Amino acid sequence: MLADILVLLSIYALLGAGYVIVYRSSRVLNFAYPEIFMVSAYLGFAIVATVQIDPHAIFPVGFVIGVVAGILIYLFLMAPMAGQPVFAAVLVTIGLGIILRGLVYIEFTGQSIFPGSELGVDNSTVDIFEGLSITRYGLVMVVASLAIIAGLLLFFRYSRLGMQMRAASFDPKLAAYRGMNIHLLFAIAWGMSLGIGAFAGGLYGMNYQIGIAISLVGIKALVVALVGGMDSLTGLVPAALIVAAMEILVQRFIDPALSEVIPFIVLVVILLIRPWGLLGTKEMIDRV
Amino acid sequence: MALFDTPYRKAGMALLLGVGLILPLVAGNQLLHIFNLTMLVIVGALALNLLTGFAGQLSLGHAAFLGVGGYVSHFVSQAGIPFPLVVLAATAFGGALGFLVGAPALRLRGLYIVLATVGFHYIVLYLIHVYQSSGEDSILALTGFLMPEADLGFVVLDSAVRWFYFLGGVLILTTAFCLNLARTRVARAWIALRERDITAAALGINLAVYKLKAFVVSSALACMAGSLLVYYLGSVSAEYYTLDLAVSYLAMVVIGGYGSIFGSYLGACFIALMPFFITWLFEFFEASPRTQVQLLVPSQVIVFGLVMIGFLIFEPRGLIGIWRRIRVYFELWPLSRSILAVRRD
Repeated sequence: MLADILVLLSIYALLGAGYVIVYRSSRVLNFAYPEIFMVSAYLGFAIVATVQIDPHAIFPVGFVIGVVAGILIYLFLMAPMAGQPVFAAVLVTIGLGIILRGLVYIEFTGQSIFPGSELGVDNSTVDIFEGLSITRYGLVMVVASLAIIAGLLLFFRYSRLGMQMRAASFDPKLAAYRGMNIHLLFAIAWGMSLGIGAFAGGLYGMNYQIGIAISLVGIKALVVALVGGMDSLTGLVPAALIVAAMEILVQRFIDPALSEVIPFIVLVVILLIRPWGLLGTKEMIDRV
Repeated sequence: MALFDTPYRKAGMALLLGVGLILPLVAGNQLLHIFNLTMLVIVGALALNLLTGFAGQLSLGHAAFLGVGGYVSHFVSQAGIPFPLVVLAATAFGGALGFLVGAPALRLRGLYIVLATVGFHYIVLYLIHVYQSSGEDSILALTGFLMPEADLGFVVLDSAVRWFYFLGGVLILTTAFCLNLARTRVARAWIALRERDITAAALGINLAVYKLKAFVVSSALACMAGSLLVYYLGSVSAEYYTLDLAVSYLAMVVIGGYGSIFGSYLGACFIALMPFFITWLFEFFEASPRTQVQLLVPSQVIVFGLVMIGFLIFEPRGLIGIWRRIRVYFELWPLSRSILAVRRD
């Protein structure tokens, strides 16, 4: 059970990071992210299955496709929305998500796939210590998500590009006056976010299964991002821990159907008592 | 009737009414069914337009409100209460629910309200599933419940024609209500709140009160639409109320045009009729049954998404914006070209 919580936590934290990167750069909530996560899982599997390469190529290939897709989406869909109200851009992402889902229906007819067994990769459980056994890809997921979030923290704190991205999100106009190419910076943020999403999609598929319904995981990750604070990467891990632990505990001890709703109950409660999240910036939300 | 102030409007309304009265006599049941569904959708879209279009509160909880309307109707109708009272009860319940949902939403704004309504949607959906599986019959838990016939007392709504006249009446009443509301202080306060809430507050508008009013009125109307919908369909099932349904209602408001009653009509007709149009296209090009099965639903979904994005990027004012430009063009007809170029901002 601890292993379940850990794996769910890491997938939530990873996808939550994708929301946070986009939100803190361009103030847009990417509602297409759950579908992007799902599509990339399908796409990565399809590529590896047709090209007949090492199944592990799913991760770098997915990442690269995600980065390219993110930059293109920013340039063609988000950049034209600059100057419009934020919610218009959010509605565009909703529309994008709908289109992606339609494409998956056409291409894969929405069926469930088990890439792990179909590609013949070994996903046996390993014992870390007495009482804690975890699947191989589950372990990869935990390690990768912690590493990626730590890497992102360092990137935003110390690297020149990361600092520029923070500056651009803090005050886009001022950053532009100082000679930064803010469209490029936002595009990079979208690329990073979608790259992570695609990577997570590949990993999730290897460990569990792929289906239309896995986009719900992405929606729950949005809850995690909000609980942690929409502009806070550090808040992701504790937030993911809260949501994942409650979900798994309720699933085990109370009612599996209720566990599906737990993240949304957490969402409503957090919005009521602390809308800026655990570690988010308080000033961002003003009330009526 | 200050709503129809010009002779043209009076003539137009009379014409529309005349067409509406004659239509059931010439149209087949299939066509009437489409019209009936569209009218129900328009009522739902009008409800959301009050909240999103006028008051500017983006909501993805509309499917949940419709669902509550449907399930409350089922619950109340179990007690043998006549149809009109059931609809009234659902409407009243919707108002109360709007108050319950709106009160927490006072603490939030913008995107956070969208998120809160998403949370609300999933919680309501869970409760609906619990209610549906609480019955003794395990098959009903999967398929949903049957609704009793809609009995108005003097006539039973058992045919498409009767439903057409009834729903037409409901639609006219709802539209009149919305049009009148749009002329009052309430709607003006909503618009001020939508455009800039700080300024609205400085002008002496009590934001909390008016936000709550928006939620209450919108939710009550939505529950009424939901109640009529389940009576019309004859059954109520949890499968129907998806997040996609909420998105499609939001798309109606966006595609029609924010804060315009007529825009809601256009948007609702557009979204409600599009699937039928695509189905017709498939038949027109004589697609094989196999392609139809494979491509029909996905292509409806994709076209829906494309239309939504297209409007947001190229015509943010929606169909009503296009309509207004066309009207200006004809009003100024011989001189219109140059003016049109200037007005195209």
